[in-house]
Amino acid sequence: MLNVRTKNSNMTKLAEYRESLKTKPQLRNLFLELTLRCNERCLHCGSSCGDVPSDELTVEQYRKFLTEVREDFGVDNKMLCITGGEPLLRKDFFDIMGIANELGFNWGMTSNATLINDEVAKDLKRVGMGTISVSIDGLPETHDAFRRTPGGWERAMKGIESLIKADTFKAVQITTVVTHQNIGQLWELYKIFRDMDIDSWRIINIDPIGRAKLHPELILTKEDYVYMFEFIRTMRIAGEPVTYGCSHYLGLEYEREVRDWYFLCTAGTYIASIMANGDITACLDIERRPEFIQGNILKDRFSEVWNNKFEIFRKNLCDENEKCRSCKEKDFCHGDAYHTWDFDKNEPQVCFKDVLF
Amino acid sequence: MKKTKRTAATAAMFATALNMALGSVTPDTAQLFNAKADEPDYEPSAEIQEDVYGPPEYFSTTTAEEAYDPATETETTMAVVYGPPSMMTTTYDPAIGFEEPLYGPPSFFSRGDLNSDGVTDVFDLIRLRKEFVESKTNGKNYAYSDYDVNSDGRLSIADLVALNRFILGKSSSLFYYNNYDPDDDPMPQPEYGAPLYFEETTTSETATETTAVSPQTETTTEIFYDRNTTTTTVTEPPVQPVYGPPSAFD
Repeated sequence: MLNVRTKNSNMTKLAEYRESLKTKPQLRNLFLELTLRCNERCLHCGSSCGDVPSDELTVEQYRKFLTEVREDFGVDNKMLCITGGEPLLRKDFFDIMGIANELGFNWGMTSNATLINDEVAKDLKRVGMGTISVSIDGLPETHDAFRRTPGGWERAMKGIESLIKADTFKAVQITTVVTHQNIGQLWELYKIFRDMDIDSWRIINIDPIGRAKLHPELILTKEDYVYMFEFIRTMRIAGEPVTYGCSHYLGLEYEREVRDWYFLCTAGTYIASIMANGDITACLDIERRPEFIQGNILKDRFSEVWNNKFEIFRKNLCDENEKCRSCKEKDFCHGDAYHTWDFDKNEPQVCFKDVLF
Repeated sequence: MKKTKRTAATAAMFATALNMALGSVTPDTAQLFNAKADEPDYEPSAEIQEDVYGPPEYFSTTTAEEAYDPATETETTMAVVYGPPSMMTTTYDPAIGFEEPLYGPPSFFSRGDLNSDGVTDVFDLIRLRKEFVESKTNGKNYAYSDYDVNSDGRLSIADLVALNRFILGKSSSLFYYNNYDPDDDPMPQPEYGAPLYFEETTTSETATETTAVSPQTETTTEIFYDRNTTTTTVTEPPVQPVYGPPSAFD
């Protein structure tokens, strides 16, 4: 619907910019996976979290790490993204985030909000949380079944209400992972969220990663994908704060129309992640293979790893696959998202060619 | 969900783009309305991609997104041309919800269900949008046809908007614009100057230079936009962080 020539021109600019990022990456988002433990067991979890053993860093180890990051990169235009598992399961959560706040970092978190009440919301405000994204994956029964947590929906919604009531955070966002099972609930969810004072609703499709690989029945069909993107676009035409996530190249029709940016997988160029045990990688959704671990903050200085390693993430995946190499969209797609690339077969697991374009 | 200048700008961008595609607004007239249907100064380094699962981005010294309140917008920065349709020339009752033909049997057609699948949904919107674009060149007469969903005698943007609003539950009738009252409409409307675009330099989306805010040294007050009013409130400096409060999880 928007001007296709303009989109084409802008994405060409972006492709050139991306080339420059490979040699001059800019750290913008630093994900901290505080724990792999979680009080839910979502079917689609990319990190296979749950009631699992989790090597975790201590408060002092985080203090040292964050101090080094501040020394080497500063805090301007940087954001810490706190995730897990469920970060609030850590008893020393507020100690860690208090340090981050004291050092001047902007930070936000992802959470299932089941552990958030009015008091916790106030504590989050005290330690400087800026934004939060809470997962709601369907209507109550669907959400609870998907996350295998009876009563989870109710508790999550109460947690969101507590966050809204605190009235202090820059953004309270709901994220919904769309599956073949819950796609018919989007309109009902819209009616619920429309009346809540949230800042935005992020809608993303389930990807075949982590535990989701065990549930192929949840993956969207072609018709589901078109429906989902048309839904998001309709919402945005109407001025609703609905957005798709960062994943996947969508073709000239949908790029820029279902989100406020053009596709760019920034794993390793804007984004780095610290796993629960201190391992350094790009994006926590990328399959956890040894070759993707670039170092560990317990023995390496993060800035040295960021500047001297990460080559595996700073290349075009499309060059690894013959079909991608010959695709006319390859400059815009560059092999699509890292986290859905099949590194055994060297092909994208998700490609919207012949689906959206 | 919050309406902000950004979401209003997105909606305005779509509407302007559609109007330009149809020739109702040209690049020149778009400039007169200060409409931004395009991205003339796209800068890749300024883009902020919201991560697939991370929290929304923000940088502390940039201002929060301003809530959009059409009642207080005084600048006519955007005129989306999808205003009320022309006067009706046939007799029908909007309350009925569909138009009885002048002669012939009553219609059982559910107005808005353009693909006849029994429901009025986004797929009908897609169909309408496609027909809309084709109507400029195919020479067909759409007056009071299935595609003229608001029955104003022509196929126009008003039909798209009417169907869109109907699907979203914002109106109970596809004849909305026949009884159009801007005061009832929370969406940005042309006569009330929907904001064109938020000021890039003052929104939280722009990667501007920021200064670390250290709660221990901050002495300035912060200004927050009150979500419920358009006035600003000045607050005291934030409470010093206390880490190590009693755990909620013992």
